[in-house]
Amino acid sequence: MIAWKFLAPGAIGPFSRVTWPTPTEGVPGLWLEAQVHPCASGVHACEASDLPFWLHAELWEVELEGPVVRTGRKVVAPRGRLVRRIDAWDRGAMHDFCGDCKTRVEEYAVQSDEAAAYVADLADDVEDCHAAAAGDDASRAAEAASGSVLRNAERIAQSRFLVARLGLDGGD
Amino acid sequence: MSDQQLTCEELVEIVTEYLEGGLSDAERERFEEHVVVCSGCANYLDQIRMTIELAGRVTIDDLMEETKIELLAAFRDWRRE
Amino acid sequence: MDAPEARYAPPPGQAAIVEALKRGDERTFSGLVAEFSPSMLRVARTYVSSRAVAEEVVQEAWLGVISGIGRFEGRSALKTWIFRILANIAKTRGEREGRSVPFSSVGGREGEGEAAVDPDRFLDAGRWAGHWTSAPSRWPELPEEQLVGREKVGVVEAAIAALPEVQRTVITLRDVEGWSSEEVRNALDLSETNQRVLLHRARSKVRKSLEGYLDGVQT
Repeated sequence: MIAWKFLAPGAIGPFSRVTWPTPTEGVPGLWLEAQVHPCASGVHACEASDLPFWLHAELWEVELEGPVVRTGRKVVAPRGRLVRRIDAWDRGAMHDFCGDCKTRVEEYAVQSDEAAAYVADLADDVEDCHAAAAGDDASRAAEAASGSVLRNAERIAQSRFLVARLGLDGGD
Repeated sequence: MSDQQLTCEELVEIVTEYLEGGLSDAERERFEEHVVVCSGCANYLDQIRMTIELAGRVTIDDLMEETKIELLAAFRDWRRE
Repeated sequence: MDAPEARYAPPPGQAAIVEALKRGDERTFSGLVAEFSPSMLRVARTYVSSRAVAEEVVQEAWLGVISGIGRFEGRSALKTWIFRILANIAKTRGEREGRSVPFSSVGGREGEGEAAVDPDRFLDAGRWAGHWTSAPSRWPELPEEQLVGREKVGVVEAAIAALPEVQRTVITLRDVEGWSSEEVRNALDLSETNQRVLLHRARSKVRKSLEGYLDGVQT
């Protein structure tokens, strides 16, 4: 299956510290094998709906092979390889993502003082261009405004923004 | 799932369990989700990793040469028996 | 959980090493002495009062290895077997010296009630309670070359030396010598939880010392 993966600069797994083999001239990178263990090891990636939880410097399309297990906010497979980098995920896109979150938080702020407190946090996130923090702060603001339903809706809005802005096909 | 968010103060106390593979799947995900959004904790995790790496470069105290020579002599004696 | 020995499969190459020892191969013996003695000294040091006594304990343990190798059947790892001999001798010596068994109340004495990071570094109220007031900084990457960064290694070495004995042993075996947690548990007869708590306290304190050195943060 096709899924998405955020990596640290240099195609490095942010947690595993593994350097992923990158594609060259349209040919996918080498397969990365991992022994699938329900607990920890295995190739991790995510579906479009979970993108906002894993935002990092580089976004890649990955191909997963073998029995793919969905667990929590990720999918785990025994094998995976990088197919292409999503070049549209650049500083401009990060900045726009932060701005989009900020716009919604300003709406939540009208509903509740608690949510209003997050407007300043979002302003910082926009300035730092820290997309992951913006997504998290916006979900906290949504929850402060009206509970977990709005928080989930906020994450869905974030994922929709990313899919549209980055031209990722396949919502799930 | 990961509704209850981890605080930084909690994270620094489970970082060893995380690195040792001692967290459950859900706890692990909670940990990683926090690190993604929190640069302070991302730095902390890096610092701990660097601490471990530096520890690996420390050399530790060894037996005295005389002791090693005595041990080898004892080994030789044993073989001759 | 302790792995039952019945299921134990010796690591590849162990049979050849044991065979060479039984044959009286000196290079194999010297190699093992060089490989294990530093860790043995460290373990012994947790039971006895001085470096000198620890040296005697390690020497005695190797003599025990020599006289016992003929009976070693490979039902456990050679390393585990050697460290078991060492621990028995060290324990006896420690008791004779009137020292208490260091690991008996390890969880309480060397683990609890210590925060990994000074609680003042976290907000104690408000929306962001439990979050950093002054976040850890990004440290420069370590150079590959072992020779560079000696001062940092020196800071780590001093911090390890200042740890309570048992924490110091655990971090030395795990991080300095690169043992697995299972090997450490077996050699020191620790539960999985205790091993982890001790390692956690040790690493946290060493990190703190490095932070003091690199960022000038008071510890």
